Amino acid sequence: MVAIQAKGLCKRYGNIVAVDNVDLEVKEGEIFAIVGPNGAGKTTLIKMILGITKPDSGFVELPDPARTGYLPENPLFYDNLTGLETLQFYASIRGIPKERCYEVLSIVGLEGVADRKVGSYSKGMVQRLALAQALLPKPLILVLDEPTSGLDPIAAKEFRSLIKEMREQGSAIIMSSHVLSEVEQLADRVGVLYRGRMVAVGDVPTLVEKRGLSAQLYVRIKNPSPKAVDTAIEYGGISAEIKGDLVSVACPIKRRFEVLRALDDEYGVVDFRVEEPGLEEVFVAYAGGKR
Amino acid sequence: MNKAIIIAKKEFRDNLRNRWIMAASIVFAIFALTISYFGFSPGGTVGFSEIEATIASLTTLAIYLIPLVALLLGHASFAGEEERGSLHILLSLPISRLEIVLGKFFGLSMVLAVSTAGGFGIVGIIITYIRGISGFSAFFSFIFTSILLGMAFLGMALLLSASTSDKSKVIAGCIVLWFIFVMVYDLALLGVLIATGGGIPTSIFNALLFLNPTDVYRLINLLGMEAGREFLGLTGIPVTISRATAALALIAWVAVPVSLAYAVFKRRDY
Ligand SMILES: Nc1ncnc2c1ncn2[C@@H]1O[C@H](COP(=O)(O)OP(=O)(O)OP(=O)(O)O)[C@@H](O)[C@H]1O
Ligand SMILES: [Mg+2]
Repeated sequence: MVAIQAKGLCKRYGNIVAVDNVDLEVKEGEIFAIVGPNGAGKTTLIKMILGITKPDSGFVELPDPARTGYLPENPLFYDNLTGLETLQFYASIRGIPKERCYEVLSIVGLEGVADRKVGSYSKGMVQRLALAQALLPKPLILVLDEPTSGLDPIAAKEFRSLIKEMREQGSAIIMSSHVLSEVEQLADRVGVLYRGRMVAVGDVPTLVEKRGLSAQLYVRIKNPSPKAVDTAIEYGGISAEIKGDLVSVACPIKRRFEVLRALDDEYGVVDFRVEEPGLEEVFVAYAGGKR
Repeated sequence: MNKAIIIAKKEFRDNLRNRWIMAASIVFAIFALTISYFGFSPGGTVGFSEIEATIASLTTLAIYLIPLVALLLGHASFAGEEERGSLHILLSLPISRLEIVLGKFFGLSMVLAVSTAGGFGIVGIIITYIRGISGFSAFFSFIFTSILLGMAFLGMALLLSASTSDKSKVIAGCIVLWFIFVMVYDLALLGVLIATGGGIPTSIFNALLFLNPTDVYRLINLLGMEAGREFLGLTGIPVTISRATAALALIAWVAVPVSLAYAVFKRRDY
């Protein structure tokens, strides 16, 4: 079931085209991540999906706010309220019982500071509070703009398992992030936004393949010979070189095993290591140009 | 509509804990006490004098201070919350923009009411104690109209705050508003009077008074008071406005800016 759908979304600010004709579809039980350089339009897109910003053209099937959780970019709350009071404020607007506030506080690990004023919170604590706020309605749709910014590594890890758990329960999750390793671990599909346009959409392996990105192969051979370079090229290598007994080969990801086997047959492989292209390489390929 | 009440409660609680607002209220109370003690006293004696005279001097104090407190309370309502991102959360929740505006307006008005009643109430209690209950209703209406004056400026602060994302622009706008309505307007009016040799028709002059909420407020509290006329500051001009008309004008000054604030906020893109 499709949970979030948008078609042909456009938004300009003066001369700047912030979002340019973007289509988007996120299914129940799916994590969709938006990546892209600063100013690519991620936040603008997210705000249009929530109906906070009106698109110039295109449409969104707006999710039901009662079961949608939203974590904005760099959130700050009301300095004079405590963490608990802050959550109770949002809970009462949503008509959610108070007990849920304690639940989400413990989910994000803020029970200990619930009665302290938010003005005295650290950046990461505020970020956790924002996540707690987004979790209040047991959301079917979760929209997260740079959710782990400011979180320590443990908290980021807890966040990832929490998000996966919500996916298991069937929530549709859309998030933006600059932490590509996190996106690789979490996202079922990734959209690369570049200058307002969605230049690529799909799972990471598909995008790698689509873009013809090469794997880097490092092979140590028993009988070193300059000819090993030719062998590597012959069996699919794009470029290769040898230093001592170490052959380095760049080759299409699908042909890495062929190259390895050929080298083993002729020179005997002692050891090897493969660097696979990932989201970072995809990102650079699609969005590495000048902004 | 009970979501507006939730917003109002939050604004009330949040701003009562605001140190600036607390400080302003205390300054308020100190000024009020000092002025009532040393202020206008027909016999030239020092001490808490008649209720009318006290109200007359406190009116002047209120015109300086209350708009300031109101602008301080309201200026961050939208632009400030936008900067913080909490406005975006609010806009994603199942609550209407009307409820948000009403909640903020009445919540902050409650803070104003507490701060005004606190600041002036002490004086009221002392005077009632010394002079008896006779002047109580006049003092009560003075406090009430002071709160309305504050709400007029609060509405203007909300309007400015909903009009731009730039909080420093809102602050600049608030300072300009304060200067115009509290300082410049009456001087300009006086200038016009002098320049025309007092020749402007009374009806136009009265209409001009309506265009400044502080003048309207002054009229309500000083009209019908013997001692008050001198405090109107523009003596020699026959003011033909009745208190009831002035009261209606003040209510309009409360209602119009906040309605405009809603109209702007409703159309804003965040
Ligand atoms: N309210 C606004 N007024 C004018 N321009 C805006 C506004 N909001 C966004 N923009 C512009 O739109 C473009 C996209 O901004 P957006 O915040 O969506 O980027 P982003 O991808 O979220 O960037 P980041 O990674 O830095 O968060 C930028 O060029 C930005 O300057
Ligand atoms: Mg952003």
